[in-house]
Parts: sequence; C-alpha cells; structure tokens
Amino acid sequence: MSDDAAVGVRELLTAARDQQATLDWLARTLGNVGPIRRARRYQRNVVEELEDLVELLA
Amino acid sequence: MRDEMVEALFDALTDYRCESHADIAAATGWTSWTVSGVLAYIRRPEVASEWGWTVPHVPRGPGAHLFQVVAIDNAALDADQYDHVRRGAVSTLRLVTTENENQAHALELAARLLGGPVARKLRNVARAQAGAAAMTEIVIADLLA
Repeated sequence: MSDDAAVGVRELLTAARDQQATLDWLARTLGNVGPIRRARRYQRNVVEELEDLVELLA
Repeated sequence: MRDEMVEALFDALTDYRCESHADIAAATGWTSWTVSGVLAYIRRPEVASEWGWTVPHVPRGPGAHLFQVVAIDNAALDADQYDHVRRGAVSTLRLVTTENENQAHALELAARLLGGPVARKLRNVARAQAGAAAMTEIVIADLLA
C-alpha cells in the first residue's frame, strides 16, 4: 500500500478512537449497562484491529 | 482553554435558554467558532470529569433543542435531564453508526483490490466496524424503546 493509504488508515484509527471516547462518555452519562456496554467492547475491537493494521503497514 | 471560559459557558446555559450556538454566542459575547470550541472542550470525558458537568449533544433538525448543563459522576439525573441526554445520545450514536458503516464499506472495497496479509487485515477491520455499527444500532433501538 502507498504512504497515502497508511496515512488514511491512521486517520481511520483516530476516528475510531474518537468514536470510542464518545461511547465511553455516553456510558458514563446513561449508565454502562446493556447494549452500550457491548457497543463499547465492539468499538474497542475496531480500535485494536486498526492498531494492528497500522503496525502491519509501518 | 481558560477556566473563565468554561465558567462563562456554565453561566450562559444556566442563566439563559440556549437553543442554538447563536443563542450561546449571544449570551456569552463569543463568536460561533468559540462556542463550538468550548462545547467540544467540555464534552471531552477527562474535562467533563474534572469539572463535574458536561453539555450533551442535542438532536439536529427542526424543533427546539435545549443546550443544557448536566452534572455527571454521582449526580442523579431527573426525568427531563435523562430524556434530554437520551435524545442527544441517539443523534450521536447515529453518526457513529454511519461512520462505521461507511468505513467498513470503503475497507472492503480496498481489500478487493489487494492481496496478501494486508487485504486479510482490511477485511478483519471491515468486519469489526460492521459489527460495531450493528451494535450501536441496537443501542439506539434500546434508547428509543
């Protein structure tokens, strides 16, 4: 992949971390129970997969 | 961000009825750009925790949507406050869902053009994002139930 693609993947990682922070905030505000708890776990998985991809492209 | 600006936002939202960034700008004397910046700042989890309050996202679209200070951590929300937060949460979760769906689609397309371990990894990420999008849809349904 090109350098541009690597930059794009890093931007995706930043966006995914922002989404994680949003879900964390909602969980703190609304209560970390039920679906939102699972949603945070799914989003954490996205962040971890993207971190692996960034490493692979480094 | 200066503490006085955070305090000024608190005063504006508790002393006046602010239904838009323009209302907050009028109450504080700030530009819309500054209003957006201070709101984004107080919504950061570590900042909100430090101050003990935040301003939930409000729904977009027609209708009056009140920007409101909501206490966090150990503070009980009353029914109106909870409903306000819930509606803002649905709006925010829809954005998160759409972003994940779009990114999953884009990564799946990119994977088709590539081979090897990178393509496999792209598909893993796409699957993870599709799963996350499906899960936030469930959260939305739960909040609207």
